Amino acid sequence: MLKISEVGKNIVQLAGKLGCETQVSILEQSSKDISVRQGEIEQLQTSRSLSTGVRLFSGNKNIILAFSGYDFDNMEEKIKLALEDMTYLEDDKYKRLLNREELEGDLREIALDDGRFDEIDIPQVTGVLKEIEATALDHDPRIRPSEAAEFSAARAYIHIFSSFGLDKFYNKSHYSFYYSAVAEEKGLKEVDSWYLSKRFFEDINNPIQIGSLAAQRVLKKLGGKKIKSGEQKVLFSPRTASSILELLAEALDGEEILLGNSFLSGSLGESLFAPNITIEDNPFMERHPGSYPFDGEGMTSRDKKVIREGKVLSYLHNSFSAAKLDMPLTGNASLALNSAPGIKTGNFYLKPGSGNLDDLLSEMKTGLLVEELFLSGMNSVTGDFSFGCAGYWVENGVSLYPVKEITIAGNLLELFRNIELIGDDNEWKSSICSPSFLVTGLSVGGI
Amino acid sequence: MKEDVLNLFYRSGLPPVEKVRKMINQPLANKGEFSEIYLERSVSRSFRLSERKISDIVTTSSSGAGIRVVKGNNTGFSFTENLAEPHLKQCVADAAAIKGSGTVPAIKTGSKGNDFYNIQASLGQPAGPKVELLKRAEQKAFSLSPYVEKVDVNLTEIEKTVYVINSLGIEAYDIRPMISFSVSVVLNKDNRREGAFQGGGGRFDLSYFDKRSPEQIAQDAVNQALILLEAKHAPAGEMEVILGAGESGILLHESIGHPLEADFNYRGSSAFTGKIGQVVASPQCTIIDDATLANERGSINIDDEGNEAGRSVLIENGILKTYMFDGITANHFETQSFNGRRQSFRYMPMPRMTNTYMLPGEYDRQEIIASVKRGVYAKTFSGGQVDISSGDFVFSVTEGYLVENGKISHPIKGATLIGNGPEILKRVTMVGDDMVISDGKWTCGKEGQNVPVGVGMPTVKLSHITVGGTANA
Repeated sequence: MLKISEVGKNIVQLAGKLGCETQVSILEQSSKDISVRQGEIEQLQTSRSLSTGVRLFSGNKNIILAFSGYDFDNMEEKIKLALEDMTYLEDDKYKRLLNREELEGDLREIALDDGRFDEIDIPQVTGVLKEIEATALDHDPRIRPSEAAEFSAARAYIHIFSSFGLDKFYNKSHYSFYYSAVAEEKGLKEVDSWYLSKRFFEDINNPIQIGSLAAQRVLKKLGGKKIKSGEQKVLFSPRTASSILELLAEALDGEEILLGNSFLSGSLGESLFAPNITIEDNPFMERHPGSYPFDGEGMTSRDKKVIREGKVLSYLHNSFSAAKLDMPLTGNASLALNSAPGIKTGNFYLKPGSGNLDDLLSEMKTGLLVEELFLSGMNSVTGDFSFGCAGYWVENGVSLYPVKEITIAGNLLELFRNIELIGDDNEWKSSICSPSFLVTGLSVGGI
Repeated sequence: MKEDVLNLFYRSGLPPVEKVRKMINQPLANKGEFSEIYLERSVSRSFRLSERKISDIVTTSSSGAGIRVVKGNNTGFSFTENLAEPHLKQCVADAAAIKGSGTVPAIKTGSKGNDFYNIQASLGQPAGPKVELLKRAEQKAFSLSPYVEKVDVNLTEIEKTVYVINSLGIEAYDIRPMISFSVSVVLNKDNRREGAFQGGGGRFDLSYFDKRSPEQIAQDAVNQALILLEAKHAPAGEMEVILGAGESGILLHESIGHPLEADFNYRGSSAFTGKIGQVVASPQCTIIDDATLANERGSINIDDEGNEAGRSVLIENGILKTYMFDGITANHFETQSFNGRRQSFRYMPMPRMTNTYMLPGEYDRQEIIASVKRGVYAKTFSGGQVDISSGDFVFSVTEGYLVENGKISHPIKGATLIGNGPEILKRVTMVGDDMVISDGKWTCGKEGQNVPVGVGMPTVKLSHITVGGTANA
């Protein structure tokens, strides 16, 4: 069996022999997925895969070669063939590999892999999934047996090499339980889901509860109706607030800035937002979804305030966008195997304020609580958005009835300027995380 | 041809096909069990022009096998990127670990060797002329308007070869080419900035560009951005809406297509479950899913379970006729399947759309516009989403216009349409005679798997739907 560390080094050497520099990125993934429906296993999947990305540099020109599997034969021929394309490329001084100096820096140990992937006991997990489904179905007769309860375990090994001495690796694990409950009343159906997702298996507490949580959520949605069009206060739950924050992260993406695709172009150093907005990007948090010890170009990770008290301090960069915009590296290159490195966040979060969702509901008094968003209507260049949404109509701080088939529209910059209150109820389920927040004056489209 | 395809996999270490057949039959003990190997090799080459430079050339290749063992309703699945015998055997063993008690009859398959593409992929041809296509699009874009600030052009060619063998003795293969070309632009006029994206392609070689040139695509992108620069905010509230021909097919795809995929109906989670034979649309509506259209993005010769591709009338004159099936759901509903598709050998197949469109009606487009007192004309879309159970869907209009007193007045931006699948087609009051399939750029995502699809639509008028904009209605 080939050792990945040797494969990587061999490709680096081969590239050297053929007169070019290279970064080789190798990703090995293993996964186990189980789904249970109506008390029995519906699908059982196991897999192991290896993907390799080779970036070949000749001066400031860059060719990418990507392949899957263990097909490391004829590498020399493959590289030679790829290098023939170099003639079509134009020199771009901003395209390069990180040099030895930039690759320096001690790797911080971050707990990301619990080492227990191989111990996952399929019968035990299957038992839990059966209970999740049973709990949901027993919760209320209106809950219908429909979608499967799902478990997923994954482990990834990431190893990158370069002609400038880069040779670093890390492992990460990930486990999740998911259930999507369907409820039916008067011939109309609704669906809602709940999940738990952790890097360490031991951090998954009481997975069986997601059955009843999903059931409770979907039952509340039954009988949703439209509301009148007009301007309203809008409260975003942690789930939907995190989706909104994700759009802000995209707008801070250095490559989007560079391409003119972001409404935050040219905003560095500007106090664009209210003083209650502080956003941090931290890749070091133990066991967190967005953590990584080094980025996709091998640069040691760093944490940073992206927005401090309303002022934009930094974009998120890979080496290309940083160089082209003449800004410092931020260690946000994503590991891309079949393209140039993109940009990713670490654990990217809005600094919490105080109060949970109920507290914010009381503060809002009257308005719309948004629990679900259909995010397709975003104009990244201007920040204008119009999203489909569902949630609850709130009066006197109390949810009165479910609302659906309506839209909220506005401008993302304005939205973040008009955040009146921020809660402290953030839950780390994905790498971009926000507590609930209350926004004044969004345009609601209904009847 | 079949030998050429097999040789491709033999070169990656596949044991002789006779041995593979035996191997996949090995775990089967009881009636009602089924097994399958899906072999796939995919190669791609893409070119990007960005920031006035040819900036990236990417070549990828991947091959592997996905192995399924099905017992009744229960599926075991495993894949490997190594086609050598020990790895396939391990995969079969992993997939066979599924525990179940099946009594459902075995999956039916068959193929008679269609060719809906009829081309040789141009993937292997020299890069020089392809690079020129990108440059032509860029030059055209910059020449069209002084406001053009950024131009990004992409060309991707893919050739995917699949070979399916199942335990019923069925073997089928397909060699699927795909070309896609896109231009995105950002315009800046007096510090007001707007972007636009235009793309197209399908199962073509470079002859695609005889149909629509790089210059044409660039021009369409710049024109759209110019229109957006002049656009006013969209109104909000319920109103009459005209769906333009072509891209509005995304509405069918989201609001009708997804809820008619049989897996949701088999599980009972779709808003259309149990509605076969019922009126779900205006009698003017007949909706088709058709994998057999020549060179369209969603076309396939066989589906990814080895069945000959087909055409389904989903809704006929307003009445729901059928769902779309993969093998497992077809067994459940006791019918035939040809909509089993998968992103790659790393995934299990499931019911998916191919090319979905509405048949043309009798009205002239101008007649439809003239009939609207105050509403929105939605011409192009950036995407959409649906909630399968409630049927609620949303889609985003990129280029749209306000219609007042039967005339198109000014362009609007930022409009979202939101509605309910089982309701929306009942609100169709006029169907135009101008059906077109939208030039291929659509990719459908479902449960983490992406597959290329086509959509099509004539001009259609809806009596009312909620428009989500920021201006007051």
